[in-house]
Amino acid sequence: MKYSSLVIEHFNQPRNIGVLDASQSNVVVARRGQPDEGNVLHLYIEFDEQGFAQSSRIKVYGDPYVIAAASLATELIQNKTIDELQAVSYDYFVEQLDIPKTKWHSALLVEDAIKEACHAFKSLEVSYE
Amino acid sequence: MMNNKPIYLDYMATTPVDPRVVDVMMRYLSTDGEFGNPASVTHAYGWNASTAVEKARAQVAALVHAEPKEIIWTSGATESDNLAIIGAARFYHRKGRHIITCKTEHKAVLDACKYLEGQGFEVTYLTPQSNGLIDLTDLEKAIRPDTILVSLMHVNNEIGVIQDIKAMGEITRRHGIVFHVDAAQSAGKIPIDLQELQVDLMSFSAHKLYGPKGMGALYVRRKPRVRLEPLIHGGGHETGLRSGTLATHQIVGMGEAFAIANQQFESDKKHIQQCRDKLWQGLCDIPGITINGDVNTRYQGNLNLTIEGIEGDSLILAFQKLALSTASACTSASIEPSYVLRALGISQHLAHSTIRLSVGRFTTLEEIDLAVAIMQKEIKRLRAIAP
Ligand SMILES: Cc1ncc(COP(=O)(O)O)c(C=O)c1O
Repeated sequence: MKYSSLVIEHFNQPRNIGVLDASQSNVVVARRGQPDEGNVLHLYIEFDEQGFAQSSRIKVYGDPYVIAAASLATELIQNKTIDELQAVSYDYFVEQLDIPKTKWHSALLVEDAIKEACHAFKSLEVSYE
Repeated sequence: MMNNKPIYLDYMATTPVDPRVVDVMMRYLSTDGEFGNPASVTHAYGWNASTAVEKARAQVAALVHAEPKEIIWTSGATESDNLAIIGAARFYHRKGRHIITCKTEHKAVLDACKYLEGQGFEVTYLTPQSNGLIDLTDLEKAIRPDTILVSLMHVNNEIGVIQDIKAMGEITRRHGIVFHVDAAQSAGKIPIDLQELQVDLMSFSAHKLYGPKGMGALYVRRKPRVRLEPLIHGGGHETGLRSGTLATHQIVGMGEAFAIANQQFESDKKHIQQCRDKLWQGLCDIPGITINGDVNTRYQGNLNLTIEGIEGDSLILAFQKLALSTASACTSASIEPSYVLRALGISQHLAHSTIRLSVGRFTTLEEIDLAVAIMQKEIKRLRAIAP
């Protein structure tokens, strides 16, 4: 498999690896994937009081596309609102990273994780009220 | 000597041609060399080429303690396997139509057997034990009155295990069944004595032993005589078994490669073992790494490793500075994980996180140190980013 230079760069130096304290009320975590299916992503996002994504962290297992897409996602997430995050689609990663069709599920996993995180944040908001 | 190329750890896929072999091959190509057709009996060009071909035949025969007359030139082990299996099946089909082989054979054997299944033959595919070795009682039990051929390999190209072809030959001989062995990965690397082994047909490849690609041989026993139907017709070369003008330069290359392997057998073996052991010592303390295939009964130049906790494609990218294989080289083009590992009962998931490292004559201890350092660092790094 030949990878684009952006994939290789993120694969070799993935951004924002780590965890955030999910017991904090402004932190959400999404956990997607199964090890025996080849991909697992844990995505943590911290929101500020205005509802902007302040920071994010990932733990990721999988092929080079998942690692690169998850890493790229942490850069994308920064300072986005919930609505903006919900609009993030897998084709952004497909395009940026030149992901071949047989590996699109890697990009979908990242989209799913972001959506799950948004959902978790919304239920947080509901419980505030 | 280091350059920008990855460190070559894929000697079971192919080997570089030994420079001494290249020197010899060059003398049989152009106007200043012996370019004649070995089949030309009317002039010195032909006689000299023929002499060279017969010398090479003796060199190949000597490595495995066969008679030169028992060596037939082919285009590689793939052709040798096909000629042995299809050729024997077609010759002996009146005696019976049952063949025994193993699930972990090379595709050259499996696909030849599959072809024969379409021609009305029946094939039993033995399942090896989880260490890759065949239980001899399984072989004995699979034999039927109509069994005409058993084809089992010597050294497995993926996991490197060595089958007990001596004991297998005793079984097949007792039952009067032709025994073919694919020795593409073992010739010149572990001892083979066809005086002692009851093997009837044996396949060889030049490019696994520092000879040229596209060149091989088939050993066809004379005592007791084994008969084959040829696959290629036209001119009756090689006692009618394999027609076509002999590729003198390729043949002398194979002969020289086998002669060198014979001559420095012990020092090659020692060096390769030392490289492999150093490689394993550098990796064995990392948790979650297992060797596939029996740990003791295996070729000294092979390590087949499952590295847990890192996905297969990521392993390959992380090890980009190393030239290694995921499945066998021939199947790397397809994404289906190794059928050899699956036959040992290894899950698809783990089979995907498995690599084959193979060292050879030109591997250096410095390369091993570098490879170990890269692997240690990358395994640690990728496991640290995983949940
Ligand atoms: C065990 C075995 N048999 C047969 C072959 C095919 O040999 P060749 O490339 O000479 O056709 C190989 C090489 O891939 C092999 O490893």
